[in-house]
Amino acid sequence: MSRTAVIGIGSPFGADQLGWEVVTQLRDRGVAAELECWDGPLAGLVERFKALDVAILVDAAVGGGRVGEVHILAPEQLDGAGLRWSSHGFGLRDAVALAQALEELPRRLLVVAAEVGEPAADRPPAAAVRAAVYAVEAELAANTGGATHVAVPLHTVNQD
Amino acid sequence: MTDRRDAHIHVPVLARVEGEGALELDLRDGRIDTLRLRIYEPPRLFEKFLEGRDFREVPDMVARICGICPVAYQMSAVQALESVFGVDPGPWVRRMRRVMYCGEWVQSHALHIHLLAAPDFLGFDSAVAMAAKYPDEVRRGMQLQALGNRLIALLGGRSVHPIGTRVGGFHHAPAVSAVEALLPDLREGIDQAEALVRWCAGLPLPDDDQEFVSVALRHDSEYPMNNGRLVSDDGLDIPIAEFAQHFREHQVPHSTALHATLNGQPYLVGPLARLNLNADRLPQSTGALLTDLPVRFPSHNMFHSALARAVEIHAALVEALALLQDYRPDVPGEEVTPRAGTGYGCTEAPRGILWHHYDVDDAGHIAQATIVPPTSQNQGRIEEDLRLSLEAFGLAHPDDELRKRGEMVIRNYDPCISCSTHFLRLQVRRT
Repeated sequence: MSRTAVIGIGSPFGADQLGWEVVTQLRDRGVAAELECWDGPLAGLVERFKALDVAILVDAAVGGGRVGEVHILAPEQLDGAGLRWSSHGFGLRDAVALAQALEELPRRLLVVAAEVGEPAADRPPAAAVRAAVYAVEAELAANTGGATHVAVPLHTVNQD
Repeated sequence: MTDRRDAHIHVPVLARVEGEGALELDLRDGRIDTLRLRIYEPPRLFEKFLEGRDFREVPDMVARICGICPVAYQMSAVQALESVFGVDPGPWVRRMRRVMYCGEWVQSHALHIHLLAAPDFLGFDSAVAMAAKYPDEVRRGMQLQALGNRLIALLGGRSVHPIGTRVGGFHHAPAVSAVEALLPDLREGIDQAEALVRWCAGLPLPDDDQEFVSVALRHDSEYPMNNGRLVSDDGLDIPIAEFAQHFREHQVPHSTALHATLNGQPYLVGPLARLNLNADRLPQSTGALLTDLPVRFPSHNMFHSALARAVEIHAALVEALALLQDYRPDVPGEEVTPRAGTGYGCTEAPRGILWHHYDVDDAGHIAQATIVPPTSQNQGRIEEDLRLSLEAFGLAHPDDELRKRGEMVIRNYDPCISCSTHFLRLQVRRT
C-alpha cells in the first residue's frame, strides 16, 4: 500500500510555525495522509523518508517574494532556494541530498514553501498558511493513488 | 612554500554551525603570532530568563538551550532542583533517566561521526559527498541516530526539546508495548554499533599526541552519565558542589562565551575525557570490544574522540537494552514540595560535563541560576589544540590546507557552536 506523508517543518515560534499550522489545518480538513510536525534536526528526515512513497514537506520560505506566494520545489530545485535556515548546519536541502545519495528518497518528494515575509513576526501570515494548505491538497490529489503524475512547479524561487 | 612567511588566516563565519564563531590565525616569521577561536554570538541570557520562574518550568526552559542535547540540560537541572527539595525519585526513575540519556548520546554521537567528522577524515567536503562512496556506513549512522531519537521520545514524548521530564521524575511511564517494540531494534543497533567501532578504529586519523588534562564524572560502578564525582587525570576528585571552588570561568575579549580553567590551565571534557577516565566502567561487552582494537585508552590523541564516540554509542545501546529488557511501568516519580535552598547538578552531556547551580526561594521560584556548558569549558583546550596541531602539521603548508586542518581540529570537539561541517569563507591577508 502506498504511503503518503505531509511533514510540516518548523517550530512553535514565529513565522516558522507555518509548517505546523498547515499540518494542523490539513488534519482538521480530514486529509487522507500521514500528517506530522517536525521540529527536530533535519538529518532525521533521511530515515523517515525510507518508509514513504510520497512525501510533501511544508516549510516557511523567506525568499523575498510576495507573502503567500507558494513555491513547489522538486529535490533538484532546492539548491539556492530561500528556505528556512538550518539551526544545526544540516538543512532541508542537505537531508534531501543525503537521502538522494543513499537512494532512499520517496518515489515522489515535493517541498511546498510558502513566503512568510517577516520571519520575526509572531505568527505566519494567514494568507501563506491558506495558500500552502491548498497547494498541498492539490499535490496530494495529483501525486497519490498510485499515479505517477509529475507536478509542474507552480513557481520557483530564484535559483542563482 | 616559504618556511618563514607572514600570513593572516581569517575564517569570519563558522558557517553551518549552531552559533556564530570565527577562526583567526596570524603567522609572523613562520610562527603562530595570534590564534583565536572567536565566538561573537550575543549572549543568550537563559540564566536570567530562569530567574523568578517556578521550578516546574525549568526542565522545559533549559531544554530549549540546545536542540541536540536537551536531555542533558534537563537532567542536570532536575538533579540540582531535587537536591534542593530533598527528593529522591527512586530507582525506576533513575533507570529511565539513564535510558533517555543513552538515547541522546546515541543520536548526538551518530550525527557527529557520520555527518560532521568522518568527511574530514576521509577527505570529503560533506556527508552527502561521502555517502556516494560510503553509503552503507552513512545509512548505518542515520539508523543509529534515529534509534537514539526513539529512545529519547519513549520517555520525553518527542526527541527534540522533549517534554516528559519533570522535577521528581517523569510525567508518564511508557507502555510495555512501546518498550517491547524497541527491543529488537536495540539488539540490531548493538551489532551496528560494534561494526561502527571497528570502522572508526580503522579511519585514517591523524597521529598527534598532546598533553592535556581530562575531566569527567566518575561513578562507583557505572560509566558516568547522570551521577558521579568530578575527577581528572591530574588528581582532582571532588563532589560536584565544589565545582566553582576549583574551576574558574573568565571572560576573554574575543568570545561571548566564558572560558574555563582548572588550576589556571585549559582542560578537556567530552567523550575522550570520559573514556580516558572511565574505561573500566564500560559495560562488559563494550570493554571486551575495546581490547580488540588497535587503539588504547587513555589516549592523548585528540582525534581518537571520534572512536570514543563510537565506543560510547555501543555502551549506551548495551545499557539501554539491559535497562529495558525486563521493563515494567511504575509510578513515574515523586511529588515535590518546594523549599528554599541551593542545589547543584552535573551530568555528562554528549560533549562533556554540564554543571548547573540554582538558588531557590521558599515558593520554589528560581532566585539565581548558573549553567556551565561543555563547549564553553572546551574553548581554551580547542585554542591550545589548534596551536599544537597546526605546528605539528607544519605552518609552511598553504593557507587553504592550514584552514582545513584548523576546521578539522575544531569540528573534532563537536562544539555546540559548530554542530556542523564547514567554515564558509576564508580571507588571507599577508603582511
